[in-house]
Amino acid sequence: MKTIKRWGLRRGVQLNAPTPYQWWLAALAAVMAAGASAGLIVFARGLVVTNLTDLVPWGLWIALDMSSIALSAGAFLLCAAVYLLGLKQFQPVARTATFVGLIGYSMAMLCLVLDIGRPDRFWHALVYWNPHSVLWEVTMCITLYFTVLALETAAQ
Amino acid sequence: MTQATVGRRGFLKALAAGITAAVSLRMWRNATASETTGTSPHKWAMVIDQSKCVGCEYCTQACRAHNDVPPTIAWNRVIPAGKVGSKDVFLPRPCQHCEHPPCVEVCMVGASYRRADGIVMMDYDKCIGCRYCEVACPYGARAFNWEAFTGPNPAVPTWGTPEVERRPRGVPEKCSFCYQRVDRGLALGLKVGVDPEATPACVVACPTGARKFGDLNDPESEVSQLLAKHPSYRLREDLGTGPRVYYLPAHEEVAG
Repeated sequence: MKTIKRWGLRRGVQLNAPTPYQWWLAALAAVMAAGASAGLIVFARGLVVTNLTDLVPWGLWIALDMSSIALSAGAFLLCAAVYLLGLKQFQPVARTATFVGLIGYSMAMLCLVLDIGRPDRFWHALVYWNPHSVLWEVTMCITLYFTVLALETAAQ
Repeated sequence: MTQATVGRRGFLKALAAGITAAVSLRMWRNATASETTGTSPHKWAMVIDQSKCVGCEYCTQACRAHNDVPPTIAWNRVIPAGKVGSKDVFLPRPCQHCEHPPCVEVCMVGASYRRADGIVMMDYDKCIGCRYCEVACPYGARAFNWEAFTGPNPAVPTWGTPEVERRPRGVPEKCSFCYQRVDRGLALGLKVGVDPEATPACVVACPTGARKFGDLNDPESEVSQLLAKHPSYRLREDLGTGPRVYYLPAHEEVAG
């Protein structure tokens, strides 16, 4: 007979031992907590904590931003293939792709807000336009894709 | 529950059409946003004579005092540039105030802009601090405020106050050709480049007279005369940025 291992907290209160999946979730939560507190430190103390210099004004975390954009761009294209072009054979993964795209683009936006010196003025990019700037184009794309994916996720 | 009259597909289509229309309209209206607007009778330029520069950095300090530049930042760096003969040569490097400034091209909100008289300006209230301009500038003319600059500025003497507002944390800053002195001088009817009150602080402070400032549109101005009489060069002319800072190269001293 299989016995279920239990963790006793107090007399009378007993919990099941965490499954490997729950351990994995806990590890992810720990990483997220570390990231959130690091983000708060950057907001509070400014970009000086990043040790970036005027010779290297953009740090390695730009790579994080690019990776999440690459991830979600694929997801976004898959979405478009199913919902706009009607390629029904990809239908089973379309919902997952939408969600992955949403996560990716929100991660990219979070990274960008953390990376700018004046996060309180992030909305300036949407109000004051310079179409000559590639970064402006990137910001507009991320914002628009995020909006579309948020609507699509909400509609599902 | 009532049946929605507009389906998801229809809604998305309408949304896409609306966004496309709005974007096209703004693009059309802003097509010239990063290009210089308006006209000016002036064309400000600086001429730096490297055979006269002794590398004392008075320009850097005068700039700090007038523009409240923090000690960690120099709008006008004086860079050692080797030797000519037995003499040390220096390269003072303010913002080059390019005719086609890369920083203005890349600035996503238009906080970097170019005035019709050629001065490349920063709108510190518009800037979001993305540092794209710093990456784009081939001259390293920009420095970022990684920290808030608080407390007294050691470069500012007790008898004076800076002429411009201190920049907040999170925006890059750079040389402005002392636009505040130029504009005020013009308003008072002074001659820019001749009257010290209407001339950039670094030019006024230079003890050897290595720096000159003036109007290239005026053939009688000192900068026009110097450039007409002497060979000059500009930094990284191959990039096509068209700097408005001209250098007169140092040469071997000839006896007699």
